[in-house]
Amino acid sequence: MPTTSSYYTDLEYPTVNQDGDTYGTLVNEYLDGLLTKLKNLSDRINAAGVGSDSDLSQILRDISQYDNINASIPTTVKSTFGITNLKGTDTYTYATAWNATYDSYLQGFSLVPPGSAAAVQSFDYDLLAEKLRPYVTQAENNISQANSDIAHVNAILYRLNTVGRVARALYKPLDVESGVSGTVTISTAGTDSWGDKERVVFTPTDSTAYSAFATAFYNDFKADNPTTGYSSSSFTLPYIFTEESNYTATRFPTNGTKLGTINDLSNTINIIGRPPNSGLTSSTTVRQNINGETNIEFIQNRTNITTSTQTFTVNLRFRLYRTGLYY
Amino acid sequence: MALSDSPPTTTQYAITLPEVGKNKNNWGVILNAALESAASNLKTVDDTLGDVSDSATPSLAYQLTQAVTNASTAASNSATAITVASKLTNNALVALTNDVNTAVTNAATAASNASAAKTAADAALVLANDGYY
Repeated sequence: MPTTSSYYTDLEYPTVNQDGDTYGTLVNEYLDGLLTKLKNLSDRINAAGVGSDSDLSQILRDISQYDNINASIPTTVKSTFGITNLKGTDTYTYATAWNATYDSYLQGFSLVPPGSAAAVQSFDYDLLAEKLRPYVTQAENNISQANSDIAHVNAILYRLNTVGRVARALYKPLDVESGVSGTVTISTAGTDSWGDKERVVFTPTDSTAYSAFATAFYNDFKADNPTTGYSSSSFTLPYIFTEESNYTATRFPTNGTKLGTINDLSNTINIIGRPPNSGLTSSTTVRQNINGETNIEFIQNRTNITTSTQTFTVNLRFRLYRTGLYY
Repeated sequence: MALSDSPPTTTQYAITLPEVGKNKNNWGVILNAALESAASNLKTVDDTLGDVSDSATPSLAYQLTQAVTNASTAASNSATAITVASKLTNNALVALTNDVNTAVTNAATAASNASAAKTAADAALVLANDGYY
């Protein structure tokens, strides 16, 4: 009887002093079976570790990928969270509460700071964004309002700085007593491209005073070609005039000297300009028509004059805007 | 190639074996040669696997050992990286709410300051205009 191999039960070798007739066959079959197993082992080792397609190569590639991921995670984390020096060891801790202002509010929506890797993965980031968005919107609205207010302030600063430095609004009472007294009649006069027009008719109380007024006007502003009398006054003002729009000086002359002209300072002044804001009751500013650059300001309490002709007792004063060139 | 061939050969490696009933006075030589050939093939496989300490070649056995170690290290590092990333994500989310709160507070302050500046500027404009707009 052949003896079964202690290691491979499918292999048999001859028993000593037995199997004399089958010795050669048993030896040959044993060797053949053993070599078959060796070849099988060789094939498996080659598959496991030899060549680029082997299991070992695949394992090494996987390990390399792991290493790459491990290396990239800290890099990504640093980049994402702005961390300069990632700690060498895991000494970080999970926070358990949001900012105190929002903690109760957010936890009311079951939003708690994720306390594990699984919680981080399942965290509802969209819901967090949705619940924080009203506060961000509130901040945006405040910033927008602040920007609007700042723009308003800047416009005023520009106006004050520009007009004050380059084209100052020169308010000139034409005599010590703020001009000349008289009456002015204001009535509606249709519309033009500026809007509603009004007609202002000034009648001085005292013709002598008015002549003095006109002369003072001429002298003060060094007007040219004067004729300063009660019955007919006219002169040309060698000033560059500007206008205002939304607190900003406009209509600056582009070059040379632009002459503003007031042709009639007689007992009637016909100035067609925009009616003032009906809400103003302490002063009235009347602009000349679109081609004029003179603002004449009547200091008088008044009401809306768009529906009727009204007559006031006034002191006539001029507010002229001119550039710094002549200031 | 098979044991039934004459002379018989092994199924693998095609090693010639003594033929039963033949090779009188020669079967021992054939058998010894077959055993030596089998040992040679075994040595080839042995060399392929190599010594576990052979880091110079490096041997397959060494690479397998290193692979096991490296895989373990990589797995451990991955777990650490995931944990750190999770904690930092947690920290970043909380920091986000802090930032939002700071932004909201600062924006409110800016709006308040801007409003005050607007009021002051309007007042300054009135003064600059000698009391009139």
